[in-house]
Order: sequence, then structure tokens, then C-alpha cells
Amino acid sequence: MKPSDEHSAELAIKNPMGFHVRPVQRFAELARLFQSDVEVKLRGRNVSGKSIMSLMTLGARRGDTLLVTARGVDARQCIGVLTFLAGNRFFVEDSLDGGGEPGRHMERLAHMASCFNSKITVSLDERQADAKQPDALRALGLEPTSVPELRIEGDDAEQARAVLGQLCQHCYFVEDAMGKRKDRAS
Amino acid sequence: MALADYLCRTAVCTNMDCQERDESIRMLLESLVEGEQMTAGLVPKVLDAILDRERLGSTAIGRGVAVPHARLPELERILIAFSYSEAGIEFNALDGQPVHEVFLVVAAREGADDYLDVMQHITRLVQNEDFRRFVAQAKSSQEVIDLIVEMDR
Repeated sequence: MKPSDEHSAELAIKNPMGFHVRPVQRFAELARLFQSDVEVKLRGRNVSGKSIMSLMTLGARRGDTLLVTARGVDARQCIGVLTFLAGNRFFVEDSLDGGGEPGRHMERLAHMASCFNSKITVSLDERQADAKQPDALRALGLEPTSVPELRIEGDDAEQARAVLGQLCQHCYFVEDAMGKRKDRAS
Repeated sequence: MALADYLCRTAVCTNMDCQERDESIRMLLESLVEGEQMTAGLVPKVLDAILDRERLGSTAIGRGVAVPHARLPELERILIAFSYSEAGIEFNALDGQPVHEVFLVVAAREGADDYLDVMQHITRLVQNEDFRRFVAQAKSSQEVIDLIVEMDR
């Protein structure tokens, strides 16, 4: 990683309900996993991308475009992850009614893993796959509720582990599965 | 838009004595029924929808504030109920802290902009330290209503 870096992206809000509580939470929770400062600008207002409450005060609607800037050693990775999140409606699945693409959790894992320099290997039941290859993950039979072991080696391993760990912990944000895992736990 | 337009006057509680999340949400829904804003028969369904939403991630948004919410086709408009709890309610907040101020928001399925406006106003209000301090000292629901009318501008 570079000692210090700055990366920006314009992220369009595609969610019909706008940048509401769930999108904001997922954005801030992922942003917090990076060392970089994250700033979000809309209509001349700048707020921290790591504060749920501050992001909520933006009141961003569908069609608005957020200018997101990360500054720090992991700025590139951070912008990569947040861009993927926004591009996928922050993984809010209200309109899918349980009919989302079955393998979407593996696409999410592979895309998020690809944001990092590190070599990332997923292990499940003693079999292994390259986390950046959706086809390899499919061959592994990874389910949304699977909790695989991650082996991560590289200069951004810490951030990669945090982000991918968050994905696994939340069933890759497959919302049907999130409810089920919580039910089993309670 | 003003929060006061949606705040149900009978659903403002200055001293929530229940520290359990699900039960305190049910009590707030009952107060909407008392205010004739919702039928009693709808309470279980709305409660289920709110708790389903909590399963996707706690609506505790930090600083001891939670915004449990749900949108249902049976509802015609946005309704807000508020409670303050000195002891705090366990809301599975990310920061692990108990929640003292709860803004419960239930709404119709349509009307994305109004809904977003409401959430925006709530978060602006709770970022105001004066509001937080005065709400903690309020003795009556009318004082809280006056405070919201005064500060949500």
C-alpha cells in the first residue's frame, strides 16, 4: 500500500427508497473497517462516511450522486468496496421478494475480495478456492450461511480480513438468510 | 415537512419503564392504537415487520438513539411514536450501548421522499445536544412535543 493516497468516486443512489437506514448502516460499517478517512459530499455538504447519523442527515434520494473521497493508506481499497456496495443497491433486497440471483453471495465475495492486493483463499470442509474467482467459489458450494475459513496474505490483509469477515458474518447480506441465521442463534 | 406533523400526541413517553426491546416497541405500538392512529388488530403484524427489520441489522444508529421502523401496505400515512428511557433499552447497538431515545416510525409502502425526510429530520434533531439534554429532563409528554416542535425547524 502507498503511505498515503487519495481516491474518489461518484456513487449514484439507485435504491427506490433512497439512502435510507439500511444502506447508510452498511456503507458506514464497511467504511469504518478502513484506516482512511472517508468523506461524503452532497449538495455542498460534507460529512464523515463513517458516521451513520451524519450520513442520514444528507437525506440522499434515488438519483442523487454522492461524491465519496477516501484519504489514507487503504484509500483505493476502500473506494473499491464502497463503489461495489452502492452499485449493488447496498445489498438491500426488498424488491427481490426472495427471488434474487441464487449465487449472488459468491459474486459479492469475489468482487469484494478483488478490491484487495492480498492473495485470498477460501477454505470450506478442507477444500479451497481463490476468493476472487466466482466460479471457484461455486465449485466449493459456498452457501450464504457458510462460515468459511479465510487465508489472506498481502500488504492489505488486515483490511481484507475485516471486510470479508463482515460479509461472512452477515450471510453476504443475502437478506433471507440473515433472518434465518439469527433465528437459529436465538 | 415537520416531524410534529407525523408525531402521534398520545404516543410520546417520557419514562419508558421497560428495558426489553421487543416489549418496549409493542408498548409504543399500543400507544398508537390508544391515539386511534392504528387498529389494535394490526399491532402483531406491524410488530413482526419491525422485528424482521431489526434482524437485518439493529436500527440503533449510535449515541443511544434507535429508529425501529417498518412500511406496510395496511398503513395510510407515516406515524411516529417516541420514548425516552433513562435506564436504556438493549437494542443490539453496534457500539454496544443501551438506547435511551426511540423514534418508532411506521409508514405506508409508498412515499419514499416523505419517509426519507422524516429520518433526516430525526437524525438532525438527535445531533442537537440541547434536544438530548432537554428531553432527558422533560417531565411530561407535552414538554417533549413542544421541544420537537421548537427544535425541528
